[in-house]
Amino acid sequence: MAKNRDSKRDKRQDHRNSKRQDDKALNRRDFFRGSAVAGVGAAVLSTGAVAQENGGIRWNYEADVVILGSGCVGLHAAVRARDLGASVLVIEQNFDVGGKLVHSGGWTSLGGGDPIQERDRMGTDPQGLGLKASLIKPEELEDDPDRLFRDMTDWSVVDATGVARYRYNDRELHRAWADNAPKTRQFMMDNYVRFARIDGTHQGGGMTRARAARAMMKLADKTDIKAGTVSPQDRGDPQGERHSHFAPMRQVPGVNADSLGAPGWVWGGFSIARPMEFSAREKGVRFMLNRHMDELIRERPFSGRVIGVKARYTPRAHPETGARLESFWQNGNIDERAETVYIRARKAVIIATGGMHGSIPMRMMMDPRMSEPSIEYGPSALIGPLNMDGSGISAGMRVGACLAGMMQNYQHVFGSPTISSVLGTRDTLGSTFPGTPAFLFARAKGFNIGAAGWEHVIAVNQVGQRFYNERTINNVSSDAKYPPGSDGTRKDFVPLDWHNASPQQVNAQNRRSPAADAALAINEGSRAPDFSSGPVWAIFDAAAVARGGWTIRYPYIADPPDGYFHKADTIAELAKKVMGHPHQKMPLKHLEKTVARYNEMAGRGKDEDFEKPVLHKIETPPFYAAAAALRVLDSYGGLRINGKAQVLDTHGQVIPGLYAGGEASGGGAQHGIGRATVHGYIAGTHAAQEQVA
Amino acid sequence: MSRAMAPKTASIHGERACTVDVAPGEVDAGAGLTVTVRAACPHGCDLTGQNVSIRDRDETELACAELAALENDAFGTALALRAPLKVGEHTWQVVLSACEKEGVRHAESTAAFSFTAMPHAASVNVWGLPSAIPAGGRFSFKVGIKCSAGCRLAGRALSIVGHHGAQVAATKLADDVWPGTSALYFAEVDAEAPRAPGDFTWQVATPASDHHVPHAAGSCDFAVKVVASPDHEVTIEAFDGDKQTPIKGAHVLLHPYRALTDERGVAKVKVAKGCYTLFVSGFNYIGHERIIDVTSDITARAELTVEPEEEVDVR
Repeated sequence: MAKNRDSKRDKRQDHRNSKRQDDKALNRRDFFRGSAVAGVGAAVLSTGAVAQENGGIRWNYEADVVILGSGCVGLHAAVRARDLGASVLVIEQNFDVGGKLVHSGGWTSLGGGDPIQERDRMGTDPQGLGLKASLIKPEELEDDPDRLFRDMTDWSVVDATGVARYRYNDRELHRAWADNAPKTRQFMMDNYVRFARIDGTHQGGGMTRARAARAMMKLADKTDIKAGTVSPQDRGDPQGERHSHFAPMRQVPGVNADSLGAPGWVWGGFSIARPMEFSAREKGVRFMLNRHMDELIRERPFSGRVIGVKARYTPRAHPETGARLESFWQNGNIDERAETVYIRARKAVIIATGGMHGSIPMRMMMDPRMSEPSIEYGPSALIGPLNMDGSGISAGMRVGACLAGMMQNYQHVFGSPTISSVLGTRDTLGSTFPGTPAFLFARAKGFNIGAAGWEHVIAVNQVGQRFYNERTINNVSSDAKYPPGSDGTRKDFVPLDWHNASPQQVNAQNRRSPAADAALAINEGSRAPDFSSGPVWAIFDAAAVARGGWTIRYPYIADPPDGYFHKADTIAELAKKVMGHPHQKMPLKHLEKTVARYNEMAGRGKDEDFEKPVLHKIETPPFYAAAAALRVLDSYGGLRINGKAQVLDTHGQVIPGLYAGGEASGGGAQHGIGRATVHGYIAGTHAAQEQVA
Repeated sequence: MSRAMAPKTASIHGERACTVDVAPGEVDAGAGLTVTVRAACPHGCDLTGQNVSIRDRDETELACAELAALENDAFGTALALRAPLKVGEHTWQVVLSACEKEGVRHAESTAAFSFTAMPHAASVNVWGLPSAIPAGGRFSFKVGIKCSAGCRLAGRALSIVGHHGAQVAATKLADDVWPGTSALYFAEVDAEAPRAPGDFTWQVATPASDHHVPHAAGSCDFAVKVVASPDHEVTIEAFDGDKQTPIKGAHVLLHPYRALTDERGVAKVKVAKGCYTLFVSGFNYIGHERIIDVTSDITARAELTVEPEEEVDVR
C-alpha cells in the first residue's frame, strides 16, 4: 500500500516536473542563445560552442561569481551579488535548491538593532502582517552592533556542558558579522522573507537580547511568493502525515503560529529558502543543479587568483523508477548533463558547500571517534549522499587555504555526536513525511520518545550491553543564550562578569550526560582497524509502547523494513534480527542477559549498574529494537576567512577570488541560519565588487 | 577444445575435489537447512552444469542441482533441504555424478557431511505480575511459550512450581497467539501468593513432547514479590505545573508499588507504612521525586514541568 501511495504521488510529481521542464528548462545551447538574445551584458555565458582556452583549460561556462552550493550561504550570496550587478551561477550537487535551509525551522537569529527588533520594540506591524503584540519587553529588544559583538565574544559565558563557546569566536569575523546582521535582516525582507514576532535568541546568538524570529508564510489558496502566501498543498499537512516538495521540512513540536504572534501563518525554513530562491531566479541568478564541485582552479597551485572550478554531473534518481529527480522550480536552471564541465569565475568563487560531517576522513579532523560509520549525517536523505562531504573545504585546502576553529565542535549539541530520541529511522533530523522526494531516501519519519521516553527503554550497544543511565541521554544541551538562565547560566547574568564562569557557578549548572561518549567507547564487538562501536539500539516491549502511545507504523517506521526497526516474539529472536541494520555486524550477543538483569533490578527497585532512577521491566511481548542514531548536524571548523569572507592561506594572506561562509568556514560556534545568512550577505557583497580577472 | 581436435578416447581426470558446508550445524528437527557444495577439478575443468546430488545414509536422493560458476574459477551450488524429524546426528553425502564431456571423463566423487537434528527449543516468558502482591492474596499473570521453529503450541501443558518445589498452578496454552506476535502461545495463570512477605523465585515449566515433532522441555524462573498487607492509602495527584491540568497516565512509583494516574490525574496506592521515595513521571515531563513518610492515609500532589523540546531544532 505504502509503495502504491508513493508511486501515485511520484507520477503526479513527475508529470508536473516534466511540464515545467518543457516550459522552462534550458540546455546549454539554448541558454547561450537566450542570454545573447536577451542582451544580458553581464550574464552567465555558456562557452560550450566556442570553448575558450585559458591556461590550458577549456571553459564550458563562465560568470562573474560562481557559487558552490545553494543552501543558506549560497542563496544569500547569490542574490546579494546579483543585486550588485554581477552575473551569478550557482552550482548545486543536489537536484533541488535549498540545502539544509529548506529543511530547517526557519528561526533566524540576527540582531544588532535589526529591523525586526525595532519593529517589535515599537510594537508595530508596518508590513500589515496581522501580527499580535510583541512577545518581548521593549528593553530586551534594544540592541546595536557593539552590544551584539560583545555578546558574541563574551569570554565569561559557560554552558551546561562546561564549555565556554563565545570566548573562542574569531573577533574579526564576529565584528563583521555583528555589523552586517541588521543589513542582512533588511536584505532578507527585501527579498520576500517575512518574519513573525521575535520570540527569543537562537543558540550562539548572545545572552543579553532577544534576536530570533521565525520566517513564515501565510496559508492561502495558492502559493504566491510576492504576497507571502503558501497553499495547503505546498505547505504539506503534518497532521495528515504529508510533507511537500515545496516544504520538505520537519516540524518543531510545541510551537504554533499563535504563539509567535502571527495567527494564520506557518513557519519553517521553506519560508526563507523558497522566497530567496524565487528572488534569485527572478533576478537572473542561474542554477546548475546535479553538479558537484570537485576542484577549485587557481592560476598557480598556491598563488594567484582562483579563476574557476571543475564540476561533475551528480544526478539523483528515484529509487524505484530510476527517473532523475527534478527541482521544484526550473526557470533559470542550466540543464547541463556532461560528465565534467569547467566553469570560469571572472570575479570570484564562493564556497557555500556546508560542513564536513558527511565525510569520515574529514570529520575525524575534529573528533577521531567520528570514524564510527553508524554516525549518519541527519539531513542526507534530503540533500543526498554528497552533502556535507567537506568538498569545499578540501578543495580550498588543495589551493593553499588554512583551517580555523576545528575545536569548536567540542561537546556541541549539534556538532558532537548525540543519541537521538527519534527512533527507528536513519533520518533522525529530517523527520520527514511522505510527499517530499527526501522521504524516498529517509524511508521512515521515526517516532520520538522524548527525554522521558528513555525511562521506558534501555539503550544497548552493538553487543547488547547497556552503557549508561538512559534517562540522562538527552542531557546534552549547550544552549547558553538569551534569556539569562538558559542552559543553567545565571539569571542575574552580567556580561563579561567573572562570576558567570566561577567554579561554583560552572559546577552548579553542569548537567551534561556522557551517554553518547559511553556509546562510542570500544566494546566487545569493536574490531581493528577502526574499532567501531557500532549502532545504538533502544530495546523495549509492548507495555512501553502502550504507556507511551508511540505510533509504530508506516510512515514512522519503514515499509518494507529497512533495518532500523525490528520486532520479535522473544528477546533472543530480537537479538538476531538487528543484523538487518547496515552497520550492525553481529547479533546482540548479550541482550538476553542484559534484559534479564535489568528486569531483576527493576524488581528490586534499584539500578545497581547505572543508577537510572525508575526502571520498568521489559517483559511484555512483542519486543522491539529501534535504532537510536548517533547523530550530528553542524560542523564548526572549516576554511579560515576574514571579515570580508575571503579565504586566507596558511600565511594569513587572502587567496584572491576565493570566498567562503557558513559551515564551510571556521572560527565561530554559532548555530543556524543567522550565521549563514550574514556570511552569504558579506561574501556576495565583496565578491561582486572584485575586479574582473 | 574444438571438435576437430578432440581425442578419440576420453582423458580421465579422476575425482573432483568437493567441500561441503551445512548451515546450521545444529538444526531443529524437520526444519530447513542449507547445504553448500563447492567443487573443483585439479585440471581446471569447467564443471558448470555437472550434477550434484544429496543422499541420505540409505542412498535415497534428497535433492539435486547443477554446479554453477562462482568467483575465482570455483564451481558450486546451494541446496535447501529439510532436516529429519529424528533427533540426533545425521550423516549424509554429496555425490558428484560421474560424467563425460568433450572427451574428458570425471569419475564419481562423494563427500560426507554431518549435522545434528535437535528437539525444538521452548522459549518461555512470564509477564504481567503485580509488582507487589499482598501476602496470601490471589494474583494472575501471563505465560508465553515460543517454539524455536514456530510450531503451533496451542494446548501445550505448563505448570507453575513454587519456591518450595511444589506445583502451585497448572494450565494449558490458549488457541491463539499473543497479540502482535507471530507464534507466541500464551496462558493466563491464577495463583495464590505465599502467606509471608518476601522475595520468592518461582518457575514455569513445560514438559518435553515427542508428539509428531520432538519438542524439548522449557522453563523460566520468575520473581514473586510478596508484601505485608497494606496499612494506608496514598493518593497521588499528578498535575501539569504550568497549566495546572491533571496528567493522565503518569507513572507512580513507591517501590515496590506502582500505579498509573487516571483522567483526573489521580492514582491511589495501598502501601505498608514506612518511608518511600515517590517518583512520578509522565511522557514529555521532567520526573518528580521526593521522599514521603507514610504513617496515615495521605495525599501527595506532584506538579510536573514540561521537559524542554528534546528534538534537535534544526532552526
